[in-house]
Amino acid sequence: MAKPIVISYKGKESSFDHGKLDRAKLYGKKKRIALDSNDVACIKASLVEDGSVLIRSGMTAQGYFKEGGAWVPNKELVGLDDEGKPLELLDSTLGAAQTVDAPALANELLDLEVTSVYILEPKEIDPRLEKELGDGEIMKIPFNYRSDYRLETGFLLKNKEGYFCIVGVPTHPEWCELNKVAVEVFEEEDSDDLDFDMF
Amino acid sequence: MSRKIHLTNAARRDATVIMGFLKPELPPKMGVPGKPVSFRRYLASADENLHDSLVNKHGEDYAEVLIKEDPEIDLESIGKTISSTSTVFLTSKGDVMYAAPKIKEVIINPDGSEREQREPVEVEANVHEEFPIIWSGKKMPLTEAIKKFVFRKTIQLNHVDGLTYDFLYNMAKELSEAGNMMLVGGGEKGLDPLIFQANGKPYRAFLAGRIKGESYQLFLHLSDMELKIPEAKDRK
Repeated sequence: MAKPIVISYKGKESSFDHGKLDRAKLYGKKKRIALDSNDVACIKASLVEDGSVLIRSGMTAQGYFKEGGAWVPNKELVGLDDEGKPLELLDSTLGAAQTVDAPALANELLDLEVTSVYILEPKEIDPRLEKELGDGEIMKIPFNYRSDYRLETGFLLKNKEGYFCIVGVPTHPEWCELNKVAVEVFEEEDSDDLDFDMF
Repeated sequence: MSRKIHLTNAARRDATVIMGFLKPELPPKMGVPGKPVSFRRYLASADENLHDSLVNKHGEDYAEVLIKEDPEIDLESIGKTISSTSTVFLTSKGDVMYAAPKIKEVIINPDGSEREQREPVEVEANVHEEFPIIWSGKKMPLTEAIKKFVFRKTIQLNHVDGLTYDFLYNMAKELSEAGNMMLVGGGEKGLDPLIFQANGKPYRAFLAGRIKGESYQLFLHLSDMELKIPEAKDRK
């Protein structure tokens, strides 16, 4: 089992077990299956651009290569900043107390690009933190499920269903001004899944 | 991405403005300090080197053959860089299909069991320039909404001229001062979830605004999930 999320609020530690929450667990999901003429599920494969190779599952791999074509083992790879300098590998935050001095603002949570959501089960909770979360405050913590070169941000909150932690990466929206008029830019859109059963 | 979106305000006045998804900074690139590297997808095996092909040729117990003859390696193919590809469907026997496959839709319950199989239901987009998305009048305090919904995506709305500046600024001001989010949607009353592309995922959409002097930020926060505990209570 993963280590707990630990938060130190005003000098008192609280810890929470956590489990991932996703749409399929709440609403189920839809999937589309392609069938052949005998109504049996098809096998999905890929054809390279020139038509010379039919790629079935298990035939490809991916990786980093140096100039000249030498493969780079994963253990040699590190995160690099914009100038190509190595970044520090940041430890997982699980099991380590993350200090919070004051509640966060609702807009900070709204500016988050959400990557995952966790249901929390308090193992030990400081009464002051419990009260403030119960009063509607939200708490912002650094969050990394595993060590990484970028630290994500988690927001702890409580509603009538229980405790949750919403994790993601902050965005920084710009202010719109009268003399800064937007123009339409055409780009290829991300494909979107087909599944929804909410409400 | 930025494209046009057509929406109404509280007075049912409509305008077409520009929308763009809010994106965070990209994660750091991986590499080797001081040495340029490139990421590649490549062919690691040919069809005849896969397990099933080796079983057909050498039988289930082909370990000895691997050691002596290296049949899993095809020096002609392995390492070939793969760039763009097209999806191809094969029959269940592995033959290439030259006609489009039939499509079946399967509905899966939250516990993983199958609920239903059916003909695919085609869903049209309802966010386009022709019909506006509607200000429903159903508002919710911002502090309540963030505890009820997971806002997976956020679109920022931007004006295209002076008139639409006023249009968006006033909406942002009204919502900001009241501390509210406003449900917007498709349909006559604005209660239908938004679908941005054909067969795309439907989202509940809420407008929220901020102002700073004469500047504004107006967001369309999109949610595909409520913050609640699954009935199965299986959190693994």
